[in-house]
Amino acid sequence: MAKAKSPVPPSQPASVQRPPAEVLYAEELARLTEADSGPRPPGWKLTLGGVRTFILGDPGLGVRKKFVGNPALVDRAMVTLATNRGLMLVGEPGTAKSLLSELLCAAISGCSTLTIQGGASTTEDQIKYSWNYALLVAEGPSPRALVPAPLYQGLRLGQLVRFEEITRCPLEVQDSLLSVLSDRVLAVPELEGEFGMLFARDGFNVIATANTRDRGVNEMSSALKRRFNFETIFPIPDFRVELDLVKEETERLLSRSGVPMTPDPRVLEILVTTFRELRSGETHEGQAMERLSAVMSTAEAVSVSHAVGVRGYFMRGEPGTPEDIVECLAGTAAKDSAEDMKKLRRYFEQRVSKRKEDHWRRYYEARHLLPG
Amino acid sequence: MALKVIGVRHHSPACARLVKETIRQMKPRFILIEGPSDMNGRLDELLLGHEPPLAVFTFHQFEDHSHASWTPLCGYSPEWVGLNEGVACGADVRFMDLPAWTKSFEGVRNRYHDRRDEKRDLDGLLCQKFGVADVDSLWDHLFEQPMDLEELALRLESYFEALRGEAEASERDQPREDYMVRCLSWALAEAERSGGDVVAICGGFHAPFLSRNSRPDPALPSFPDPPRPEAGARHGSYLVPYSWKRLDSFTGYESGMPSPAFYDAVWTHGPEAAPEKLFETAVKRLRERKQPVSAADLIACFSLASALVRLRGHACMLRSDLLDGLAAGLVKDGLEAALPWTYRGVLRPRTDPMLVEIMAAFSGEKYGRLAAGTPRPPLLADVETELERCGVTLSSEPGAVALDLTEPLGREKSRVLHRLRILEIPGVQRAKGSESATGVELKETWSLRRTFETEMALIEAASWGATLEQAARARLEELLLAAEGKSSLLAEILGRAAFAGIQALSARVMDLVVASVEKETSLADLGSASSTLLSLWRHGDLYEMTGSAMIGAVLERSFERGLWLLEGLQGPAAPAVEGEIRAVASLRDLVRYGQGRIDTPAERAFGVMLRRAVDAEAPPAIRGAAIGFLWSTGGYESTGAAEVHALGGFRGVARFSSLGDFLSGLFILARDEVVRSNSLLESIDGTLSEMGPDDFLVALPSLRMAFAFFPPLEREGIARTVLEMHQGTATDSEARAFLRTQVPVEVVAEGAALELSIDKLMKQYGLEAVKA
Repeated sequence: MAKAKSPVPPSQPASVQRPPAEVLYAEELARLTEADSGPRPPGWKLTLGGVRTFILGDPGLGVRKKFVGNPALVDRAMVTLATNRGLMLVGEPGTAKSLLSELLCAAISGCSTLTIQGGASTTEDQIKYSWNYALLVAEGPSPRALVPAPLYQGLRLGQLVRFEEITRCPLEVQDSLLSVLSDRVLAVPELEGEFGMLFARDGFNVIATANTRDRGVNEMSSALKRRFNFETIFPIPDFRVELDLVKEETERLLSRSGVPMTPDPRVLEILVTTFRELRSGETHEGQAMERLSAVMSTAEAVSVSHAVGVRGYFMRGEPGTPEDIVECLAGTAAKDSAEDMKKLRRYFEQRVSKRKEDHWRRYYEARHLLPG
Repeated sequence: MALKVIGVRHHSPACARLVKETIRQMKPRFILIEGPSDMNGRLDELLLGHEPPLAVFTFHQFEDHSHASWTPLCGYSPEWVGLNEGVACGADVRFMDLPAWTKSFEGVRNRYHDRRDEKRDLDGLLCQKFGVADVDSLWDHLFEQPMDLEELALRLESYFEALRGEAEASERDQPREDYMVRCLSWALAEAERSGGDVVAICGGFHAPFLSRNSRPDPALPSFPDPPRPEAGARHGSYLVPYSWKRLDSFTGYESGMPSPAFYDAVWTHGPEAAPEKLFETAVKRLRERKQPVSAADLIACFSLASALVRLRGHACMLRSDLLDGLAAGLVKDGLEAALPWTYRGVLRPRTDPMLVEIMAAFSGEKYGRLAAGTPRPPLLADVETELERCGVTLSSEPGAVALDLTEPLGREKSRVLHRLRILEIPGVQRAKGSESATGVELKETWSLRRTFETEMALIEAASWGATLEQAARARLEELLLAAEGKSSLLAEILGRAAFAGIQALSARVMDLVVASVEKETSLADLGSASSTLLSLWRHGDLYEMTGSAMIGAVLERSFERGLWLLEGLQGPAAPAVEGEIRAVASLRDLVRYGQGRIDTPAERAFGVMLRRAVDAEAPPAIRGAAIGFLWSTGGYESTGAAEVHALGGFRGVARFSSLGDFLSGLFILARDEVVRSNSLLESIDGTLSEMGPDDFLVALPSLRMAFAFFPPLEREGIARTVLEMHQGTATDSEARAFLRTQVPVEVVAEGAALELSIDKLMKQYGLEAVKA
């Protein structure tokens, strides 16, 4: 049988680009585990309350807030994971679905790396198990020759399995989850006896994420839909909260890029307002407009704001200006869509033009920097 | 003598419970309730044994200013419970707040709305602290769980203490608080003299202030009189039946505690039993509406909700637990709009149908009923007076009335009947008449009959207002808000306002209606609505609508919206849509006739039109219309320049099939200019002459449509110009003959086909030269 080794790297090598959440926040998790005394769902490393604190933060315990979003959604997600239904996180790109899924796994199972990345070429092998063909030919099917994939591991170790972008997989591959989700057992018909059936240990469940911009969840089979509880993650509804988040993240990224300047708050305000308006299709004065087809997520706003800061500092030695935003917008907001570019122009001509504040005027006057 | 101030949230069953038990324990001498003090002489009307929900409706009309406000009461409202318990224990119960006609209530429709402190946002901080998602969940978490009364009282007190802090009351609230303090000071003095306690029931924000500042004042001779309205003002308060649905549909800052059906169950069956009742109601409703809800789903919902209760440490299932459980278990798709209980006010568009039904179940469908013997609302008397004044009889015998709107009396009668029609009073029906207020039909026929339902309907309609005009106005306001910016509906309702002689709406509603124009997505609809409204605004003398500020405001916003929508039209191959071209024409009319009277500046339109005129991605008809717009309003520096632009535009049309589309746009907007421009006609003629027969056939349908926009006489003029171009001179009869074929179209087509095949044949034998 395959070795029951822990999939988590034991320590965090300094050169790792992006350590998983359980490594990055190992110290917080350790403290929470110690302080956490209530009853835990079987197979869970923390109580529900502990998981909640880990994700939503608690300044009193020195735990950082990692997910800016509706706390009730986190409650529902956790409770779902403690039942026999999987959790499906749905939303626009850049709404922190994967982040939430990673945090949940790190807190509940202590491991967020049992991940299946969905795609057009994903096969059942990559989900369940495959074989070491040298051993298979030499010894015939045996537990030793079996190479476990994330789902197999999750069942055996009683851990959460993440299935990213599930809707990008072919339907028949998606449906291979059916029996595992309902009967909580994986059949390995090649093996005999006790190894022929792998029963899920407590703590196993699946968190899937799906993107509303790709093939949506509409095409999923209703049999599979039934086995998931759906949670839709929306862009951050509150302007202030989003502004703060963009500011915080931009400052972090800028300092990493060696820019010793904080962004101008008025420039950030323009940027976040523009993103929110183009995303929601409504100005903050309540006028309706057309949404862009490009993704105008908070994550995109952060990356534009980062680019604006970098431009300003390395090109002129000052913080980014409204003109810089216009330059950077073309690349993100409009990407290569001529249609979006038109919408963007119309936004400048008919909406931005009416705002009288000084920095908005500068923004409007820089509209000729939009290409084309 | 003791004073107990119970700060409450309006329509909170927990607060109602506290009020009930406190009164039963204390048996106070006086109970003073935050409510309209002008009702004090008639409190017994409230105790006739009504079935709540009901409301005290207050109206006030002074000069051209009118205001309506409701004080809604449900079975579980702390104020309603306080009133009934107080009377039962023999206390002297009174309302202690200012009447709704004072400045403090200007524009306030729901007296018992929640107050929001945007500046300090204590609720936001508490939500963060307790890790709950929204204010309503926070309230339930803190106060609506089962707990003993002392604990509840303590929590409420410290919450309201923190909410108020050192804050001064707003300019609106200060006179109210001063009045309430005076009322309490009088009651305290009385109680000191004759023994007994005083209980005050008021909104939590006021409670700390009232506790701190009320002390016995023997100098007050009697219960402070409420301020009187201006001399000559019409005003009054009376009881009307109300409904849960209406209680739950106040929007924005006017909203209060949500989901009446849920909290009524909490009050009647207790917080432990209520969720199960509502769960049942919701599931039943979902299944009646054919939404798929399996037994497995229900088990999942309820077990999820129960798990949430444990996770959140609630003593029993709260509203948000149940709703969250239902959402997690039932929703089987990505949502397009946020869960309805995470924000306040009406449901957002594209809310999942399952969630819409669940919210409707939580809202409930109860209608209140007034007890027999409740004084009849003044609307009934007003309707009788109005009918009598203009000599219309509404009797149990069916009758018909024919009205001539050109006569003053006919108009007067028509107005009254239209107002009744707006209130949907059975027995008043218009059999014949013009559809719109700008129609040419100036006669109306009405069929009238008084039935049993007529009176019932009038009592219900009384909740809209005290006079017929006021009620009709309030109803129209409601309809306008419900139209959600659909401009055809807006125009229709404003037309009804014209029929009914209602020339102005309350400013706040008008702002909302005007803002809702932004929601219109169809340029064609917007255009047709704004031209209807524009003609009413220009020629509505009959209905006194000429220059109406109300319509002017809608027109201004339609202008803005129209320009926005116009700029969004795309598609170089899109066929002409007449409605859209007409919308450009209506934008031009707005610029032309609105100049100096409403804010529809030509420069704003010019910017958009100049961009559209040269936009290769724009539909050809829109390019033509934009050029026509500029030409006909002097947007180009000279006629010559305009012709150059028009020609350039025409030659720039890439497809033959779109040539006519471009011309349609141009012709509708700049008919006169085109007819006078020989050079343009010459150039069109040149282009058409050079076309091969196949190309011409492709271009023909849209060209036909384009030229059909000219009236026959002008078409003849064009024909004459064209003939002159080709043969030097032409007479009128020649021009007329040129437009009409002497033989049927089919014959001409056959002839042309024959000619074509002869041409081919001749070409085959090398005989082209012979034909030439």
